[in-house]
Amino acid sequence: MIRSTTSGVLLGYRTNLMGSFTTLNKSRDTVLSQRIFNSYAEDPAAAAKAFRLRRSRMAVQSQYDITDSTYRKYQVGWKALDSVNSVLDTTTKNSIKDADLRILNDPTGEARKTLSTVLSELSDTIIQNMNQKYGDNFVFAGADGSNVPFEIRQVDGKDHIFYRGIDVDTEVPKLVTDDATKEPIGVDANGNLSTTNPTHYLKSRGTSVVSKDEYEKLYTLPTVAEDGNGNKIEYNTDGTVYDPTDPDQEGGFYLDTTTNKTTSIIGYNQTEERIKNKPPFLSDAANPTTMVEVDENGNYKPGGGYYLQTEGAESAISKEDYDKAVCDLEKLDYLAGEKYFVDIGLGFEENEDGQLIESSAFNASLTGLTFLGYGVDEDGDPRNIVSLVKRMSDLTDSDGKFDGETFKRLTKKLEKASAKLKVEYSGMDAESTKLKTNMELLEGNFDTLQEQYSGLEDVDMADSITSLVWAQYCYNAALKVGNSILSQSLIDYMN
Amino acid sequence: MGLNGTFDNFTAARLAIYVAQKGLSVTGNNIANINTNGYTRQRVDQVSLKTGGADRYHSQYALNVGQGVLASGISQIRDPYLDIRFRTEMASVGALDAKLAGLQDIAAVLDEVGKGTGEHEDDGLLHAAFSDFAEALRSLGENASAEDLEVLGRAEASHIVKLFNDYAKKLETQEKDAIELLKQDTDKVNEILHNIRELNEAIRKSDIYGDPALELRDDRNVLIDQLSEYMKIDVTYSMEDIGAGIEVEKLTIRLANANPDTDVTSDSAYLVDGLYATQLVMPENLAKENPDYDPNYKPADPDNLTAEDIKKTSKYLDKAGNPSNDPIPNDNYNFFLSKLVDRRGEDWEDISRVLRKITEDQVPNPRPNPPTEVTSTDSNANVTKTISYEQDSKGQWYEVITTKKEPLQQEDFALDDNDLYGRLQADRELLTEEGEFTTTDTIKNVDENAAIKRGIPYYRKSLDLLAREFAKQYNKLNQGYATNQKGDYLTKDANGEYTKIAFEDGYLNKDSATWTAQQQTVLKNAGVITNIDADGKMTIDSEKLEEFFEDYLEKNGGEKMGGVLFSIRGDLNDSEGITAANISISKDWSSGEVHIIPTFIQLFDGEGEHTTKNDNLNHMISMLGNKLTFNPQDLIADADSSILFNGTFQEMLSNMCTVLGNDERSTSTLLDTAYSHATEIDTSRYNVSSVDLNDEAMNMMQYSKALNAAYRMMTTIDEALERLINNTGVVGR
Repeated sequence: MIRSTTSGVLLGYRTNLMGSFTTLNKSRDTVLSQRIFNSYAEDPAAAAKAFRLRRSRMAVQSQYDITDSTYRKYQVGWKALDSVNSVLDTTTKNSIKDADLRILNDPTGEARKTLSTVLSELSDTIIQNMNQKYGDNFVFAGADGSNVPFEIRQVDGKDHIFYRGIDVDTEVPKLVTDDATKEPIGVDANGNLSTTNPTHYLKSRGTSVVSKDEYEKLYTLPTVAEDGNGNKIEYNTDGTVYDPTDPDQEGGFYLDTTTNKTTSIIGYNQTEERIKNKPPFLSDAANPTTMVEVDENGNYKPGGGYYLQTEGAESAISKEDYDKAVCDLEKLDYLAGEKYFVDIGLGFEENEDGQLIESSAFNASLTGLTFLGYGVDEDGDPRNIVSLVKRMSDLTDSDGKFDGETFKRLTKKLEKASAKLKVEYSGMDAESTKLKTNMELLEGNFDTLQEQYSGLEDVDMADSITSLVWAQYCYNAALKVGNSILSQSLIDYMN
Repeated sequence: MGLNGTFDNFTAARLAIYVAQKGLSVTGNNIANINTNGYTRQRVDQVSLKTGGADRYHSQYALNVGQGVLASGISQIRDPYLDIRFRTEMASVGALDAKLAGLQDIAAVLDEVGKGTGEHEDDGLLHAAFSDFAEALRSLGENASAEDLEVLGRAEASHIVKLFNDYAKKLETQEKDAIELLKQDTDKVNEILHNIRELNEAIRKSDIYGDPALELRDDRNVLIDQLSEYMKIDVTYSMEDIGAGIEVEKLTIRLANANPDTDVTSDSAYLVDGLYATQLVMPENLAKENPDYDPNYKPADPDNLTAEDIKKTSKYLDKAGNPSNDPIPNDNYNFFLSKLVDRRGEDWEDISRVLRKITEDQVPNPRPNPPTEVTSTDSNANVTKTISYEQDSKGQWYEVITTKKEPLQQEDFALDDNDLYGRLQADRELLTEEGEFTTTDTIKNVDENAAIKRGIPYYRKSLDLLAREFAKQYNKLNQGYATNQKGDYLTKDANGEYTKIAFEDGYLNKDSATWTAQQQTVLKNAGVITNIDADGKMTIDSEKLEEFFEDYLEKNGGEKMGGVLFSIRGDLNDSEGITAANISISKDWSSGEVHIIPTFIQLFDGEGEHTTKNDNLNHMISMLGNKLTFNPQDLIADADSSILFNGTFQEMLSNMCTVLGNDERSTSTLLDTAYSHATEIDTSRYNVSSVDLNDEAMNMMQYSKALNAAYRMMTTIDEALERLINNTGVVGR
């Protein structure tokens, strides 16, 4: 364009001055806010990325807090187990091991009662340790942190340990079964076979098989000769009637009228005593004198050739009790494996069915059962450490003869249980370490994320101040130009 | 011989003086108006005066000299092509500027960059609120029975809800402000059209009297420039024959074919045609008024209305013309053009008469009565040509062809959705465009590109969809049926104790590994199991599974747990129709009757306790990280699109802001370009049309010198004539 007018020049100047001023403002905003961009419009990609990083950072912060809290809970649990371990397994004074040793090496048994009390109190100490709290929640209560996990209750005059309301010594006894159906046989409350209305099952522990012949031998009293008054006639070994006035005659025999042979009075009396103290045998409930035959393994089998010696009513377990025991043991199994998961930054994802993928979360559940044990073994002895100690305390507390063999057996089992506790304890230590490592990773992650979004958002102050100074300079220059924008014209030079 | 008269030179000098004086006046006027907005510099048009043609008796020695100079007129120096270019560019500037302003207003609400204080500095508001909610759930997950933590969870949820309400309210306010702005801009446009018509009339009158009315033309150009910002226009000038051989300039402004749909003709509608102008109308209600409506009419039997009753009691007519009481609100802010009328309100008519002399025998006998009419249609008018025959007083016959044009643009002439392009259209689109929420019907019948245009409604609906999905997922997670730890569904017996729900020969359990053969048969018959292969692996229809179990549990007393967490009002538990504006913490959750359910599992059929079991809480935590499909059809049933976004809640929020930010950025860039281009063209216009002091100074000098010379010429002639008159023939006196 070969022509420039004042208005055209002014329009151009105004536009450019505004542009310069806008740039100055932007630079000023950058310095004041210390941000590269102040809205999505200025840099949508960076803004979206920055918010993604910030979200991750907030999540990591939260996961770190959870991890820290869980780690501290594990610390408390570890200390509690450490205390339990020292109560159990050292030879220091007042440990269970020390008490056991003293009981086993106490020839006169004078200190036994005292030591029994020590054992009982030490077992209570273990329970107290296992009922530790972290904050408001019990550490070893699994997923029931608000309620105390372990309790000691009296059952039949004896201390029983209960975990979340269930007896830890729950036993599901092995039952005598029918050889044909493989199902447990039904008995009455006395342990006699009942086919019409069985209310009980028969436990197989405490039973033993006796062959029919053996039974005959042991529990059949021969018919002996008697006088008219019903008194048994004493004979000599040769079958002659004993004359007590004859010093050459020894007597000491009865005559078995069935076999017509003599049988010693001592033997006869022993058999009589044996029959008097005959243990219960599996019989027909409708006719208790009729013995029921089993096979050599103790399974019910008519014509099996054996009889089953039981403990009578002690061997019988009601169906309700059996079902309850089954149920309780199932519950204990569940509680021992109970889980609850927390998000410590391992992903926390669900599969397509909406179930949490366990490897992407942390199981923060600590179950006391896992450490102390539960149930009974094949000998009927409890697996739970505290129950074992209580049993041992009961043994030493009895006024009767001290059953050293049982005590030794229980001591060995206690050692095994302690060893298992140590294994679980180490496992817990490993989990603790895992949590600690995770915390460090999360910290690092947190710092990295912060750095990343700072890099996206935060301006380099040196750069931004330089830009501001430069923009200010350009603006000042534009203003200076404005002073001379309207140059003189021909009119100014006309006369 | 071409002799000049004695005093011809005086005449020439006098004429020169007149022209020079006129030139100085024009120069003075230009200098005075150097700062007047829209002023176009003027120039005196001069022609050399030469009277007479060739002499009858021409001699080669005869010298014909001109008789001076005449000022033939004053003209403006303006480049009409630059005006067209400028106005075209200003339509883009207006459109982009309005769009950018609207987007910036939306961004002021939704853009969370740099927002947030304290521990959440720059973390955003709603973004941070979601994260805080997740944190509260995690804390509760560690300690599921802690009531204070449950209250904390509710507090964080309440914060989210309040932010949704706040954003929705602000967007609603913005929408109302945008409506007001549209109305104001419409009024402004109507004022401009009215003023242009007034100026047209004044200019026409001036033209008739021979006055070029340059200043009025400048004012008119300023108004047209303003109008061009609001819509794309096409300005044409034509000469109008007003009779007696006089023609005057007529200005016509039409819409400039801005509609991308080439089949549409309404985008070239008239806005101004000479003395006639239209007005833009944006009615509140599109339903036509029923002419038979009688407000005093009372039906004989209000319970059994006859057709006549309906006709007389219906205020409106629907699209098919049937009586209806439903007003059709003008939700799309459609524009209509009123009839073209002049200042007195008379309709636009274009009647021209052409007379052609004919002989008597060319007149048809008998003469057609009524006269022959031929109708046709051009792009905007019905044309009627009438041929009639008239005889003047001298007996001369004429064939009179009268051409009458009636515009198609009658009352309530509807403009198509995309006819306008400029600030007005941008204002409209800000109010109407729904992006992915646009219905199929709208895309098919109104604007095929509607799905890619986003205004305030798009962002409001996106926020509503986010709020609805959030509420839906958490309400669903917090309601369920009790099961035991094995997954068997439970019911309560007469004693209020839990028992397992029987299903065929087992218990009702969703885990397919627990299904017995009998159960599998039933489920197969119900369509839940679609196939069992040789290995026993089952193919399960998840939807049918859910339906079957829901139905079975309802019928068999499945024990329901939990309740609604979010509702449409704080005093209700109703969760139907949740939007960002009405989302609230439900009444039961507020009052504590409903809590966040940490687990639906009743341990050991309710006999056990697990106060810190948290599997349902874990679902809620992972829900915040789950990718969800945000489907516009969940909000608008007949939306054309079925996927808006696939991602988490926070990603959806970020996506909204990213879409907005991208739109803003591209609009800003385009605006800068358009504005820069428009400024460049405007500068060129200024350089052509505006006053330059150097130019005017030179003109001043030139005319001043010419004036002085003319004065000197007059003095010289005066002296010469003085000598001739007074000093000639005095010898010998």
